[in-house]
Amino acid sequence: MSANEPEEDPSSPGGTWGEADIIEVTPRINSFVYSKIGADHGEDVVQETLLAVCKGLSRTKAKTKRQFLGWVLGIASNKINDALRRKYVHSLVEPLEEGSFLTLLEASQSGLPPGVFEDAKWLLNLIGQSRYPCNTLLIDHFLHSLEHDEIAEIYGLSSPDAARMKIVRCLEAVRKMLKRKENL
Amino acid sequence: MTDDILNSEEARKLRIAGAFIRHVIEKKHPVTEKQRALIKDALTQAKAESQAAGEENQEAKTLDSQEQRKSRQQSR
Repeated sequence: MSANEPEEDPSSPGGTWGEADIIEVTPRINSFVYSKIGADHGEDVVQETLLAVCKGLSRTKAKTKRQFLGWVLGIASNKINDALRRKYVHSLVEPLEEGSFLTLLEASQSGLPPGVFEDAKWLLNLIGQSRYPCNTLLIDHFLHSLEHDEIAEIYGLSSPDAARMKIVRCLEAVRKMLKRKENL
Repeated sequence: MTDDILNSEEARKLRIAGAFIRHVIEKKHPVTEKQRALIKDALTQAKAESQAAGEENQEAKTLDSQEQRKSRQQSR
């Protein structure tokens, strides 16, 4: 996760996790799922994720909050893939491409340092112009701050380095494409 | 472009922008009462299932050791 999140979790020494920890990460599950498949389909997926988290809580090897969040988002990712396989969710990342989301971002920008809103629009453009799995990789890396090892696990890549290279290639490809479009 | 793109100023700005986007989504979709209730119920159920499994396991162990004791006595 992001660098400003605590590495250690003093509230859960030895990795004993409970209701409060799950409630704490639930907004992250919501944003992780809704950023990829939207709230309409996402509600069921979040529910399935929460049930799986509660059921598997005693089996998690997470020792820190960061590891716990990584474990939870890994489950959420599996549930999204299940939903895609069962075909009741057809597409990824549409929610971020909707004009209404940009309006929402625009309305939330007061108090932000200069340039962040423009950067957010640029990021949405990069995501919107990328194809699967680049679009979700960029979401996982830039929105959800997943580390390379976590991304490697979710996408079945051989190593954290392979995940890093994949993100670099995705960024490179979409930037090249946007540059070509600009030059047309 | 090099692999260092992920350590570049642009990547740093994109991460800040990404955190802003995530924050907006999280604000729009906070934890609902339905989700809180679901977590509570699911944990209660998981605990009950785990206790039942533990008791079953203990029962099986007790039966097993009784069987072993019997078998040892018979063989004597």
